[in-house]
Amino acid sequence: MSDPIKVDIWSDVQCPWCYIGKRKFEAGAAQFGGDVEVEYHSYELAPDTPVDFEGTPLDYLAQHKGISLEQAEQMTQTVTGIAASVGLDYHYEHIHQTNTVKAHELIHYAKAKGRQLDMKERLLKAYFVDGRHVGRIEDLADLAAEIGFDRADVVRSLEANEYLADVKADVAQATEYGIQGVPFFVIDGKYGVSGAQEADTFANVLAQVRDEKAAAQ
Amino acid sequence: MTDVAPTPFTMVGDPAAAACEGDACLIPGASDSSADSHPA
Repeated sequence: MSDPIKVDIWSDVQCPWCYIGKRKFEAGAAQFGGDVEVEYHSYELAPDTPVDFEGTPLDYLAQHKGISLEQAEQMTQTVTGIAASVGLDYHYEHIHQTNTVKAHELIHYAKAKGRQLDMKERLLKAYFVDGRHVGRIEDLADLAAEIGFDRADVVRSLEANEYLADVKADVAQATEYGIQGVPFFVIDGKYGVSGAQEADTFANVLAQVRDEKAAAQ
Repeated sequence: MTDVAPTPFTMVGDPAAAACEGDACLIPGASDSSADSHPA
């Protein structure tokens, strides 16, 4: 039995293409059929966003980018349609725009306990589908508890900034790697895949890595 | 804008695939810098 192929993914909780790309990657990995080990890394698209911003991304952009609400609403229609094509029911009208650094800390907390993938999925769904807040400690603790974590321990960890350094290390690593956008996938530490690529792309590069490893043995 | 380091990876796939490059991508299409005009 061969070792799993390592896939490192830089992603943000409030990145619409990251959730879509996650589904496409998962489809590609299933199509590939081999053993894959995934590790998510933190990337902050809007680190200056206040945690308590009251409004949706539409409101945020209307205030900060000079885009009308009507224009912003039109812009969401395309991505909402693409999300639906991969089985994701985005609800931009319910999204709580916020700062995601604590969400990233929670993903690192979950990784330390062997549950990173479950926490990542719960946070993406919470943000894009369920309209839940993913910036406040109490809300994040609720989400963590929903998938089985000790709520009080999550609050303790997030209040103590236990994994903040790990989040910043991921962001710094992204800069060092020249990563300018997310999602960004690193396959076996060798191949880079940028954006929400089609499932075939992921399946093909995974198969290529498998074949290269086999040939090297 | 600081210089961006060259990627150490061999890039594969469609270079125009949709990705987010900053807060404008919170609403895809709000920025020309995001690749969302080329949806995956």
